[in-house]
Amino acid sequence: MEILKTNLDEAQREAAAVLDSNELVLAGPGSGKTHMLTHRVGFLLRTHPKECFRVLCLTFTVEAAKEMRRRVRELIPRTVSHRVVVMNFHQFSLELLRHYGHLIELNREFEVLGEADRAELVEDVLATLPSGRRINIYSVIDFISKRKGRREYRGDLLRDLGAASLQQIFSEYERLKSERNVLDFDDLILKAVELLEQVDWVRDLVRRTFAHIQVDELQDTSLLQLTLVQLLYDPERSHVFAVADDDQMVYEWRDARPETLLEYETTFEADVVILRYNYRCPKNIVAVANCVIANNPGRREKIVTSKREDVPGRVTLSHWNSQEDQASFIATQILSYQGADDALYRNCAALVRYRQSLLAIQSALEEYGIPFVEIGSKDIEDSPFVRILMGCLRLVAGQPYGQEATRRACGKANQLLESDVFQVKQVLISAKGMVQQYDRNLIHALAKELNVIEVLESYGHDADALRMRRFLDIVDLAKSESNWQDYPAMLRTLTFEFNSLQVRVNMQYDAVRLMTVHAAKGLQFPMVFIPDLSDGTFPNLRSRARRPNMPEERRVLFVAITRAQEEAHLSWADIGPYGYPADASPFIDEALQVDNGCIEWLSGGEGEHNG
Amino acid sequence: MLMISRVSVKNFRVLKDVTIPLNKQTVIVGENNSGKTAFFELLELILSPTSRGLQISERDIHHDADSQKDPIEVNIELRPVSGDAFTEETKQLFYPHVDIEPDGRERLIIHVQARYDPEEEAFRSSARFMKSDGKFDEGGFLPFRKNVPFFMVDSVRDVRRELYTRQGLWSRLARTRGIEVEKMEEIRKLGEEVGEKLLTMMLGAEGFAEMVADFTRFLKTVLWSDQQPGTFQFSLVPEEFDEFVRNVELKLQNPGETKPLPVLNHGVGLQSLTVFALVLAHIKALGYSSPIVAVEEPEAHLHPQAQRALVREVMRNSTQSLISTHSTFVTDLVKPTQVVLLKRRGNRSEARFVPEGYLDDSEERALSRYIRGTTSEFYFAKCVLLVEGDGDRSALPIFGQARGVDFDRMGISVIQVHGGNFKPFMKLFAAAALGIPWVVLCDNDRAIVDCLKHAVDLGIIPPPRETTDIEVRRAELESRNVFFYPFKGDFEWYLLESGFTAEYEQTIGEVHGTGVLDSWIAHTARNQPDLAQASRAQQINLFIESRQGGRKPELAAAVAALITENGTVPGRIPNYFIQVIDRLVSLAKQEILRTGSGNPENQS
Repeated sequence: MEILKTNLDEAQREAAAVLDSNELVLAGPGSGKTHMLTHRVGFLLRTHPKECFRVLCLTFTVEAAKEMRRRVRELIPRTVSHRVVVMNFHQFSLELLRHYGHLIELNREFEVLGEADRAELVEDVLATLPSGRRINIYSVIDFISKRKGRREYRGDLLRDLGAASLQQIFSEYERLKSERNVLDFDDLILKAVELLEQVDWVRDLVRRTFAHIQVDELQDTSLLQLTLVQLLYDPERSHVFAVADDDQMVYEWRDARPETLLEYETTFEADVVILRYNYRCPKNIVAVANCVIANNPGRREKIVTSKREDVPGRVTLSHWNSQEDQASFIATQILSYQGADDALYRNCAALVRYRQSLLAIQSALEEYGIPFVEIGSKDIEDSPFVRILMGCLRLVAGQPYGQEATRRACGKANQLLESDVFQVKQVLISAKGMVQQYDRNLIHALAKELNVIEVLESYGHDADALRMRRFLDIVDLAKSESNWQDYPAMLRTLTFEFNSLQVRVNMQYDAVRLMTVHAAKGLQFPMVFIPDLSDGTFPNLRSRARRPNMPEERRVLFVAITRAQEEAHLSWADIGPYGYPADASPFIDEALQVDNGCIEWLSGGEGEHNG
Repeated sequence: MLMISRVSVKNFRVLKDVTIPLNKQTVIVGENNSGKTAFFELLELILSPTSRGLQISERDIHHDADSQKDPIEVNIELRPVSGDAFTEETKQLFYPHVDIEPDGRERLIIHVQARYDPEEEAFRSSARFMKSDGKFDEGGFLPFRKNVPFFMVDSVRDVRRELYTRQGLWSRLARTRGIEVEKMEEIRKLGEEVGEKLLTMMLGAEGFAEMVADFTRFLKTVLWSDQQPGTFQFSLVPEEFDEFVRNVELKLQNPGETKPLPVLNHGVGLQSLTVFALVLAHIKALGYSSPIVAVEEPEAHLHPQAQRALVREVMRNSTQSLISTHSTFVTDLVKPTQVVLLKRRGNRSEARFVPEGYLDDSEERALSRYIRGTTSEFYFAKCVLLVEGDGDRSALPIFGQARGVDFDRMGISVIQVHGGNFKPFMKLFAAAALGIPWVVLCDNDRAIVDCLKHAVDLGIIPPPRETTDIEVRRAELESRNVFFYPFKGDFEWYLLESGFTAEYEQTIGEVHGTGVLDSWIAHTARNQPDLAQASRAQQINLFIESRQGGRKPELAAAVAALITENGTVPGRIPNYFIQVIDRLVSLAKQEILRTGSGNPENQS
């Protein structure tokens, strides 16, 4: 009990100390949900020192899993660390399939396709189609994903192609996958569910092993993920503990469903506990966030109070003529914040609805000489130069598709450079020359041998050269953290954890963080900018058309505001990020309903103070 | 609760390619250099939770194997001690490496590979879990090794090492338990007091004070300042905890002795037993409640009763016990299905054992009955002679001796099979099981008919053709090592028919008393008039049959000694025995040749 007493508040403690029933903890941002999860693990292990069961903590993202693992390790002795398994849903499923996939006729040596690999596979599928019609690869991926997520697809693709062709694409896609012995990300959970449903023995084994299951960010889980949790749960012997915030459900487009929380409650007969304190955001920020989210229908009322008494917090609102003005405002604010002692660029973040909004901001920051990093961009992963190296890695890892992947990447790279500097044959010879012995430095050695960075710089592709440098940083980080035994292990880490690695590489720099709100989930920054709060951008057009009430868009804004530890700067410009004229977002009016003095109108645009 | 159920080894020392199944209790028998120690050490290297890393080295590769192309490969299969499923705890401990076979039986497979890697110019070894699909799990076995409660007690039970060195069990035991810091302080204080007391007694109070003063003065002048002088302690207790525990002397006082003596001052047997006690204590201290214990030659330095008691104790204190031995007192304690023979064949070893389900219940019972009642010496034999009667058993070694064949030196065991039920033994010794060459010497009566049937059943000879006359098949049977007396009847009848009536009369006189034979004939002839008309040989034969109380072996041995003048004169050995003995010798020699380890001529 000691571990709970010293570190948790009363409400957290009460919830965490319950070990013999199922619980759902509903709590807002900054309420210490993760803190509670980790301390509960520590408490569980301390109260059951002689037993051998394990605790499974399931998170939504790889990053969250990594962070939670780190925090759990600080709380428990090393001798029992094997009793805690912290993974995201995909990692857990992957591990299950790697160890027991053969029981559902899977070749356990399968490889997992990264997002870019998947796009290439779809390209191959489309190439087999008779028609010469141009089909968007990503809409096909979306279709396949949703079909596997057990949700009906309502997109335009059906109209474009007709159900029959789609069926054909889907089966060809599946056939190619099994031919190459690869699985995509969606398959992981799908197959894990299949395994647990079909093989009683595995289900029983897993249930006996994990007597306690903890789920982070329950609101973001898909139907399939919830099904997985149900399969892991044994009413006779196991217990589940989930934390969630229905106001932070922002992954409806990735199969999260509003019904999840209620289904969880009924399926597991869970007791609901609500945490009411926000330890992250100061009073004014909490007030504005609460005021906005209150407009969502059907949400559970949680009256959240700020527990930060050191600063009152500052929320500003401003209106600008152009994207450029808005961007200059952000840059000057950052500079003035920089004026303060020990303030660093890494304390500032701009959170946008769409990456398009970042263009003007990036130019302004460059102009003012402010360093920045873009988090969560696919640029590095998708760069053909990076893909040449990844193709080579696949080749030396013994993947049959490696050669073709390399060939394709070389083609695209040459196209981009308008030259034929990357000769497939030469590249393959270089890669194969290195296959002789396992070398942890393979990627660096290859990059050097192929002169990638020098070539890119000599062709004036500085941005690509920078991406390549960052990629090598990512490899370095992975190397320092992973116990790579062989090339397949190396390939797996780089495929599976690419995003997480990239985030952490970027986070190492003292630079302003630029990212989408979604990518900022789970993070926090002293100073947060939320630009382009204009109608059609935030909320976006599509959700405005479909759901007049825009609950998901409002939740996204709620997440954005609650990232701020000290200051949140909301703004919009008359010209939207795509160059069209724009009106103020309806959310601005909602925010302005807050009590007097919580929001500060900034002059600059044609501001007026509220009240 | 798990046990090692099967071990396959390739290219590890003399174990070139063997598979060894293991029971809850397994006794491993083999001559020196047959791989017993290699086998145990292999298990220890891989499984022991107190081993460090995976210390297989280049020296361990079989000397004919190419260290690059023929790696050392080991598969160890662990199964539940009872039933098909592991306990919940085992499943939790080994998740996600528990394997399930298609028939639903659970197991763990540990695959070890060690080879020379020419690229890295290093010898590399790995231990991984494997599953029924033949593929490996990610991650290694070593982090899970602490969950395998394997412990080995090697044949060098060196009390000096175990009690007085840092690597010894006594120190390890101490480190496992540890002691609180404050308590250690308390002990140190005590040590200082005793140290001072000792010096005071030695030097006298004044002398001691003087010594301290001298020390202090000296150091003050060269090292310390007057303002801040240091101090001295004279401690009897070492600084380090385990060094201190190592200095705790284990003393034993046997009943009847006047004072306790350090273990080292006792006999080797007692020292050996002390090591056993330490091992068991160590296992317990580490928290293992169901250990797998491997013991090399527990019999060393112990008298038979102590051997048996020790082995029983090892079995009682372990979930699974693996014992290597040269002692029949150990093999006597288990069933034939629990014995593994390691045999040297040239530069490699072979493992021989009774496969699962090979013997039926009644056969297994018959063999166990024999071992319980007699001996399990045959496991150590080069060749076995199966006979039916007491007479054959006791007389044949004497005839052998007369022919210059020492049955013991040749490794020939004689087994007397009551009632002539040879089948279980023929099966046990067949190539499919223990692979020990055998010769049957059968009475020429009903028994040989059964024996023939068994030989046919076991595929030793082809089924009978038209005739059922056993004599027709004599040559065929003898060529397959089944002998039966030339005359209808048993050992005694063969000797009597061969004309040794006088020797029998003399011996009966010595064993049963002079005149007993004739008065028995006279007495019995009153009710059985035929007896008077019978030949002398028949009369003697009937007399021998009528005697109760088992003097037959004595009689047979005495007659054989008489015929051969105490095993020194071969001239009168009955011809059929010569044939049998020569066959035994030739089989034993072949066996010795097969081991490739010695010259059979030296042994005969």
